[in-house]
Amino acid sequence: MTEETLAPIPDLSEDEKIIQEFTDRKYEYGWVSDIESDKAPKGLNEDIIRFISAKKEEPEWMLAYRLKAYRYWLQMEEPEWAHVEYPRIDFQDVYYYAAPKQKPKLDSLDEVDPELLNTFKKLGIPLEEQKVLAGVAVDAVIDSVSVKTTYKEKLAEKGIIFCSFSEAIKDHPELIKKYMGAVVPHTDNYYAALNAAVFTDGSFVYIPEGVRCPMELSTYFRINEKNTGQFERTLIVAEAGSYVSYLEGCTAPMRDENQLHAAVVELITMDNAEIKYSTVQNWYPGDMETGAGGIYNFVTKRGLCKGRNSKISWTQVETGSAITWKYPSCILKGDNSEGEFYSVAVTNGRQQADTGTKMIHLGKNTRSIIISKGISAGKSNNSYRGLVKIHKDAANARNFSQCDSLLIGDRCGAHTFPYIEVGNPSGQVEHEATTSKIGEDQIFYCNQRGIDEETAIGLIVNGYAKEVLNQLPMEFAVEAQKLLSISLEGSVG
Amino acid sequence: MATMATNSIEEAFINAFRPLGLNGTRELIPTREAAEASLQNLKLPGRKTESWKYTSLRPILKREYRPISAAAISSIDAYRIPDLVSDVLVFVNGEYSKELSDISHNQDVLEISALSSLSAENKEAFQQKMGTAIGENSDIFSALNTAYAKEGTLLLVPAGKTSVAPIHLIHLTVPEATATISQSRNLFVVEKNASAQLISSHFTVGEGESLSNTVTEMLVSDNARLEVIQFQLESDQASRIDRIDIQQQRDSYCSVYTFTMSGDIVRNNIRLNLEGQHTESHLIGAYLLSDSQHVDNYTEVHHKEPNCFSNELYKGIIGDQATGVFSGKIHVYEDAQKTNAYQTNRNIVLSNSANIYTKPQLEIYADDVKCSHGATTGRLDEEAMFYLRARGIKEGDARIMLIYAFCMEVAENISIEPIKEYVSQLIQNRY
Amino acid sequence: MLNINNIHASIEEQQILKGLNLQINPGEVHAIMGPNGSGKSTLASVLAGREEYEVSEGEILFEGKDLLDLDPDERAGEGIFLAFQYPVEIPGVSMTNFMRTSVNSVREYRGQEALSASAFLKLMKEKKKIVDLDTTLTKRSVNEGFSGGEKKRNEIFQMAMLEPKLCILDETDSGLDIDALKIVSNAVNQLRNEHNSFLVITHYQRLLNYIVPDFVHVLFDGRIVKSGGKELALELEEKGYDWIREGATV
Repeated sequence: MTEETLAPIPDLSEDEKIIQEFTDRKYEYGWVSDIESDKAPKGLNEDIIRFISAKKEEPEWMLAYRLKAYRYWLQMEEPEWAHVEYPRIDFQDVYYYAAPKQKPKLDSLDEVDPELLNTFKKLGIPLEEQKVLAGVAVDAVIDSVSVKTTYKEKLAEKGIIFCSFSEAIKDHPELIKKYMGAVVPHTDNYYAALNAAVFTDGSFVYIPEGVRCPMELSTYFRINEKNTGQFERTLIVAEAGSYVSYLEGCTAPMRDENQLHAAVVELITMDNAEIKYSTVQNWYPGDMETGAGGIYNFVTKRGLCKGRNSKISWTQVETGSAITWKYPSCILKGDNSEGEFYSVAVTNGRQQADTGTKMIHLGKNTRSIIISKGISAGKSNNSYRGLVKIHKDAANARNFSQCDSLLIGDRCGAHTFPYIEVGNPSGQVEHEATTSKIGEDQIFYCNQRGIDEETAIGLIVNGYAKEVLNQLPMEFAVEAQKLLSISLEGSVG
Repeated sequence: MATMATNSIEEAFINAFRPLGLNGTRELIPTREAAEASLQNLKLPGRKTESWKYTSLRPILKREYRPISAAAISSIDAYRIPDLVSDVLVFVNGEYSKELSDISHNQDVLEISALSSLSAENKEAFQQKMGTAIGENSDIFSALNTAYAKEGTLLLVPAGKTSVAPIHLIHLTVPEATATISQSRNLFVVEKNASAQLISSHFTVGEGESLSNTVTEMLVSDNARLEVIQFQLESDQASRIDRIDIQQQRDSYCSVYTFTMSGDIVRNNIRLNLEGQHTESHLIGAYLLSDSQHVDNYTEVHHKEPNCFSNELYKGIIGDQATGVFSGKIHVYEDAQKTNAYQTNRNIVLSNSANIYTKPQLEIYADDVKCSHGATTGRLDEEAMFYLRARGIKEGDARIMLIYAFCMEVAENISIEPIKEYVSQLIQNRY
Repeated sequence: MLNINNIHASIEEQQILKGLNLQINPGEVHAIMGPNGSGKSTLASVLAGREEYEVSEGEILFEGKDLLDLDPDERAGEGIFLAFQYPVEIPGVSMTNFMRTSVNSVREYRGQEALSASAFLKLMKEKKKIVDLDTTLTKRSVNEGFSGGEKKRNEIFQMAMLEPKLCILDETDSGLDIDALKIVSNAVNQLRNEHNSFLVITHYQRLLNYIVPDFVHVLFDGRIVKSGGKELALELEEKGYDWIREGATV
């Protein structure tokens, strides 16, 4: 009689909500919250960078780093190889700094701008007690400046540092100097260089040797200020034998102008350490018909498995943004290290996604797995682009890749561009990819059981993406399922 | 300074082709002038050219070339396929050898001729149809070919006719003290309801560096059938840039097999255009590489019409410092519903310094399709090796058995028995 | 309950049903028999609303409503249940989740409140007993990795869950061994009552030993050419379909 556990229930009740939400076709999180902001004038030059650095009371070395990156960026060219199309970005027409006005220091949630709290409520982010109960510490970021960090003290007991990037520059300069740019140098690519020059804030996590982080660390990003580029920077360092699971979730309000987001995420694991990094991204995808107003999401995410037996695992659910250009990667340097990439990318309307991963095998006995599920609907284009490289010295490296594409409707595109480079004979690489249409017989079967077409598609797509969704922490998985269904609204008919 | 040096190397390379097209046959190709003019705008592929990402032409470009001169060969027995009854056309250093050829078998059913001996009627047909599959001068090697090629083969199978025996084209290169260039230009036309089988073999006779630049167009009409099997068996100083453009009309069938057993730098470009519904196509290849050989199979399949089936299977065995590259693009156009397109690339690596690059590329704009690609790279199955050795088979023999089994899958569907046997011998003799 | 009047249906321009008439009243069990290609499965598909089938002529009334105006999910809501001949697999979608969505969609259509999680689980447990469905099956994805017999039992389980008015069994006996056939038939018999009706489509008489019909119809070339009581099935078994074929061509 114990075989019927209550485990499936949360996911069932979510389904009900999904059905309700199908009736509301508008972008759910599309409003502008009215928080007075403190921002730099539009445009980019050395003075703006000095302004940002001064505003954040940064040390001289940080400013020097920014200026070096900026000068490097000036001589770089905007990349055009991705399978996406968009008008050229005028980098002088973007605000590079905007911070919500607030009291300098906050001791409790009561002191947080009520408007801001309300914003979080609308987003459904339980910043307060629910989070405490759920055991999640939140470093909430609204337009570039970290507003409130909870649970810091509890983490501090274990020696874990979880703070905004700006604070880390002030409080832990030795760590920032040592690791910032170690995985994604400012010379890496156009957007990484831009980020290094103008990043405004982000998160820093440091897990000391042998410590298993007792809770999921989570940051919610949110683009809020009109015409504000968002240049987050995240750095996570896991010392030997440590473990951390980090959640990143994003929503953004509806806008008419395109908004640029160019984040950099760097992860480093030492011997026997593990970082699990999960993302749910549902920024505004732009108008369904015209694509106007959506976010440009050009992100550089990379992890370095520096130590032996270390592991980095990326899981992403990408449903938002007008353009996504993102390849969370792993450099498997330590022997026996392991990299994972689990991805679901949904495009609808006029969205364009070019996403995938790079697994660079340098150490011996390194292993990697890639599971990518692309779902295209409407007039969107969805591309998987990936690289599996087995270096000459990476004896006994293994990779398995599975890249599947699902097409809903006959005006969308699904593309696959994997690169496989094997330089060692003991390397075993397997790559499989399929592209197919959503099963009409499956939809009909659901229909015959009384389930309408949009719900049926939601069900089938969630089933299709299950392998990836299963990788997400429970509470994120629920949100992700909901998002998958919502983002496919209007894809039939 | 560095850039000037580069320019002069590239210019010298292009100029080396010019003398090839001078004598006699300029009027054969009506589009020579246009192709020659287009050379101004076309660039030789470099490291940053995406379609040549894994193949560097530097070693080829920096040689000093001379056009190849005529040479004599006394017998072709060593180059024929045992037990195969076929028409034979022999080209030595790019020149047609009437004495060594025998085209008696099919003379009543189809037209097969070297370009230098075309009848007036066939010449007109050739001039009319050449360039159809290849389209504009968008690639420098085919433009060079159009501008300066003077010899090659025309196959013309009239509507409703079927070849009574396969046609075997034997290309022999006798290298010289300095590096040589030769070109070949071919056009295979299979008209409605017609059918033909064609084999081409490339050999090197002797020592010396050579480069061959070949363009072949295949036009397969409604309900027609064309099977082509190529054997690339040249020396380790022989480089080759091959291009095949295929146009298939409705209900047609076309298969192209490419066996690369040796060579220096070999690039095989195959572009398949499916212009009618209900076509079936197979692009199959095997490459068995050692030393510092470099073989790059670059394929594009364009599904422009609904209800077509295409299948690609390429298998490689890479040893020593050799490099195997496979790029396969499948493009399913917006209205090409009910497309079935499959692609597989499997490689076995035998040494520590071998390199394998695989780059599938699926661009799909129709929804009711079934497309898949798979790629694997690994060593010989150790379990299987152990099993064989446990049954008393020596390590070397066991390895050959497994390699043989791995490669023969490629030849499975070849309908001509002596050719299957020939492939089997080639694989076994390779190790 | 169901009135089929002079229905003509085709698929890919091939005419399959050519003027079929059938009337089913509450509480009745009708069997449709006929040789392969006579249109049996087409009839099931047309009733359930499969899009590929085009109805060019005739009407189908279900409790007075024009069925042809309704989408497949609306028909399910009205109480039409099709037990598929080949139930499709839906990877990654758990049976529990699927059934919950289905039951509540149908309830919503009928103006009933959605079942709570615990009420739903209770219902599942109860109905699973009817077909002796292995509990582990409902934890798996819809029909994925189910044996032929398990798929058919799963169909009947869903029928029990949804409490339809008209149940169409499309060749439910195909691929079943005798034990599974008994389980399925027993389940159907348990579900029979004076308010619901059954349309049993089968090629063989065997199933009708277990699910005893009130009426047997012989479908041939898109039309019902002969109707009778349960004894007609036995007659067909004995004489084969050639007997009908000859009769039909006369």
